[in-house]
Amino acid sequence: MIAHVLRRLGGMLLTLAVASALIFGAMYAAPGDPVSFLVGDPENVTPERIAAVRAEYNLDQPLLVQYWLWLTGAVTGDLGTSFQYNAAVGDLILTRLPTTVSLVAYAAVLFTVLGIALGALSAVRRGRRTDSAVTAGTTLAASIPSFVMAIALISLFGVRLGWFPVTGLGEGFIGRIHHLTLPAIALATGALAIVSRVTRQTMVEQFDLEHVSASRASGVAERHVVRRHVLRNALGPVVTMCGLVTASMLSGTVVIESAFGLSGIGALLVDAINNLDFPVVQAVLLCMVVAYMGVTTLIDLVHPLLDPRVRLERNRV
Amino acid sequence: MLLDIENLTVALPGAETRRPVLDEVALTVEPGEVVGLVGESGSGKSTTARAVLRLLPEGASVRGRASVGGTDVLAASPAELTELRSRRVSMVFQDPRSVLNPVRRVGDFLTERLILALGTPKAEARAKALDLMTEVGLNRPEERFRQYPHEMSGGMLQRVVLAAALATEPELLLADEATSALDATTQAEVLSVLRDLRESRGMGVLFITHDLHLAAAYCHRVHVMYAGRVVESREASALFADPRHPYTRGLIACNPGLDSDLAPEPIPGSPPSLSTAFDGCPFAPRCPEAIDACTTWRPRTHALPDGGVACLRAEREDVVTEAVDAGTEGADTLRRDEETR
Amino acid sequence: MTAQSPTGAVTMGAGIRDVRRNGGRGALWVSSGFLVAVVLAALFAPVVAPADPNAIDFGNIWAPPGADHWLGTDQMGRDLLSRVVHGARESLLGPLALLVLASVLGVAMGTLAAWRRGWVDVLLARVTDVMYAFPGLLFVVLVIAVFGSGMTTAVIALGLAFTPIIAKFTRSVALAECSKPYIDAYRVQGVSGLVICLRYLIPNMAPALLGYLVVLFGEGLMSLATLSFLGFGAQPPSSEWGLMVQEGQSALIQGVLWPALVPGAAIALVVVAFNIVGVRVADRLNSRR
Repeated sequence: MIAHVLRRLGGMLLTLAVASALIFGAMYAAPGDPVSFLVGDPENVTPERIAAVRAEYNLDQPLLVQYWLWLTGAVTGDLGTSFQYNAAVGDLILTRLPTTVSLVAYAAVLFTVLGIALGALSAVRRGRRTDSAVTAGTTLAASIPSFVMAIALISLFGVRLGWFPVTGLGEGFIGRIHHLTLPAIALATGALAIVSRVTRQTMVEQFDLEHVSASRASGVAERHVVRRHVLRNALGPVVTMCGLVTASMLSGTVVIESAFGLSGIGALLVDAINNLDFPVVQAVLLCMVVAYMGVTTLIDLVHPLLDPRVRLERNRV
Repeated sequence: MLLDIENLTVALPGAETRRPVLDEVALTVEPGEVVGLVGESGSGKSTTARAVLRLLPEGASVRGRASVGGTDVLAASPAELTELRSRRVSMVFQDPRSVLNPVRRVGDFLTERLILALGTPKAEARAKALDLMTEVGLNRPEERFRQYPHEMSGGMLQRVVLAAALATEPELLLADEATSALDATTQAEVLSVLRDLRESRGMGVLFITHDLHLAAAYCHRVHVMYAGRVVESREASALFADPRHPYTRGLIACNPGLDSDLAPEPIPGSPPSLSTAFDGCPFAPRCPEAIDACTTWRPRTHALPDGGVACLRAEREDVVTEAVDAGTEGADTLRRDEETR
Repeated sequence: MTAQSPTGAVTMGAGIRDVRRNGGRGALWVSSGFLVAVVLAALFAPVVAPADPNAIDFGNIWAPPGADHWLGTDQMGRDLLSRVVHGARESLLGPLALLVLASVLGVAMGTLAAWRRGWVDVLLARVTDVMYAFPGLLFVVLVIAVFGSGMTTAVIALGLAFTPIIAKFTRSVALAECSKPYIDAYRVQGVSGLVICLRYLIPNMAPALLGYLVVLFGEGLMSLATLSFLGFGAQPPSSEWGLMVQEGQSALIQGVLWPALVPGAAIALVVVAFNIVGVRVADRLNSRR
């Protein structure tokens, strides 16, 4: 058990090290001197600024030392300074974090609840019309890129019907829910198809198992059979998939925040690229990769615990 | 009559399917009686048992009748069906490992039916389950109650399954290969538990097995199934003494038993799949005694003093014997008839 | 930047298979017809389009659909229908180019990994791990942050991002193929590894690979349009569809929906149609194997 966890964590750290080196080293791949790349906006270059960049990135040191200083800085919370905002990148990210987190959380709730409900529905009605309709609907919805979905939602529910505001964050919890509803829907549609399909698939496999027949044979009502045996036993893969999809949504926020004008981390990244603010780009990418890797590794380690058989085996080992 | 199945025909959907999985099956179980149902896998034994609880695959078409204590199962209302499944009939499946939900505790399995199907209060259901566990010979029931299926051995699990089946004091127990997955000693233990319980409760048992010896030793009457049909139904004692169907003889020859000097002799060929249809007797292609007429003879049950057999040759033999016994003129004609074929 | 990892694409393929099975042939014929029309429109854009896609007419901005402009005009008074028709070229060629790049690199890497095993295989696995550590399109975003926005950069970056996906798939197909006896037969005859791979192995894998690429095309189109929407891909005055959606976005608040919805619908319809037809083609190619 412990050996497995350590191996998994070790693998994750190694991958993270390479990925972070990639993020850091990318500036050397840019054409020309890294200083001129890092300085950004060429119209506004002053000797002071060049000196600041050199100090910031320790450009006088050897490459490995530069990387090491950058990485140790990042680990201790010093993510560098934004040239555009002239502020600590860590602070920029922190102030925008709540928006992104609430957007992802909202979308995760939506696609988990709806995805499992739709998947369960089509599993129960498998082979019938409802099943085909759910599969067709979610699959086609997933063929629409999230930014197109965002535009369609804004047009219909924001502009035409006026049910939902199309920009900003709103005041208080209710206001925030109200403002984030359309973005969350746009973010969740792609995931909905995946989750409902995995739910349907694992549940349909369960339906053919003997213990489900046995429960039915003892007169237990179908709704109890579905809940206690089919859905409960399908939960492992479904929960895992929901977790993985949620983690990958971090990158989806880049598009959704831009489409809805939300000032979250994703929009910060787009903004930084367009303004050649490379320290911010590096920091945001690093945070997203770390968060993504962390969540997926965690799911990988935790999901066996949903199954008592594995739990026991782990304890024995 | 506790269980009465008449002309039960079940056809499964699918392009590959060319014959019904059950073809005019008839069998009966009296209260307190143990009736064996024997055959190779795929012969329709399990489907018969499942049909008694209307647990048929989706899209299956059903003809005929199956009634339990007067309730027509196939025509029962949802309420009657629930009553039947939850209280009056219990089923024990072959593999206890697959019958218990692996992610739920043994106690959940034991009380599920009582609580969810019969509305028994939780505490009462638990007390009853603990009693039953003791009755089927499980020690430390409190501890077992909280365990998961994978923490128990196959023999113990089958006792748990038995305890769950007996929890509602059913009139009829459908035991589908209930002991086949167990090793010999455990099998004997479970069978003796089952025998005691049956005697003390007067319950009827339909005992499904592929083991003819076991069926003959354990049951009052035995039905032998082949390709979805009952080919022979006899008193258990008569089956070994005087098997009338060539298939039954073949099954006995496959496994002559310890006290016999005969070498085991397998039946040539393999049991037919659902994609094989027959114009005549389904056993004819494998039957060492088949005559040409068998391949076009539509099987029907010929009555015997202690049951019946569905075999053309057995039927003719009897007709000839009867005719000879009666000394009628017809006997000669019949015999000549037979010879010319 | 949707949550569509390779698993997403596969999941979707399975879903579309169901839709097709249940929806009958109608959807397939409608989709094929639509795609043929789009490709023809892209090929003969100058003939098909009623107007110059870049003709600015400030007297006629945000005109609603009508006789003069069938699909209306954008914020500079340019004819939306003409822009969408011309934009089809870039919108379809882009994904094609990135898939060509990704399959050349990916098939080479995957075949090599399956053929040589050992350290080459391990290296591929490590590279794939690192690429997968970047969720969604973030690897592409990093490349664009360094080399600057533009269609060429976006296509190359996406091509690199798709490479490990194709390499992984190729590797699994190649491993199955390599275990077949004919490969050993050639080896015994002394045919060199390179020749076996190029002459026999890769051609024999081609149907399976093509089927997979067809399924990936929709994904590529969506990704590229997304990059353009963010301003990282095609640049004005291009009429690439993702970019058109972005330019039309500002009009939404003012109640003018057409400039964003027309190219958005074009993307959605093409991806949906392509997925429906693509899965069919993939199945055909696979069954022929």
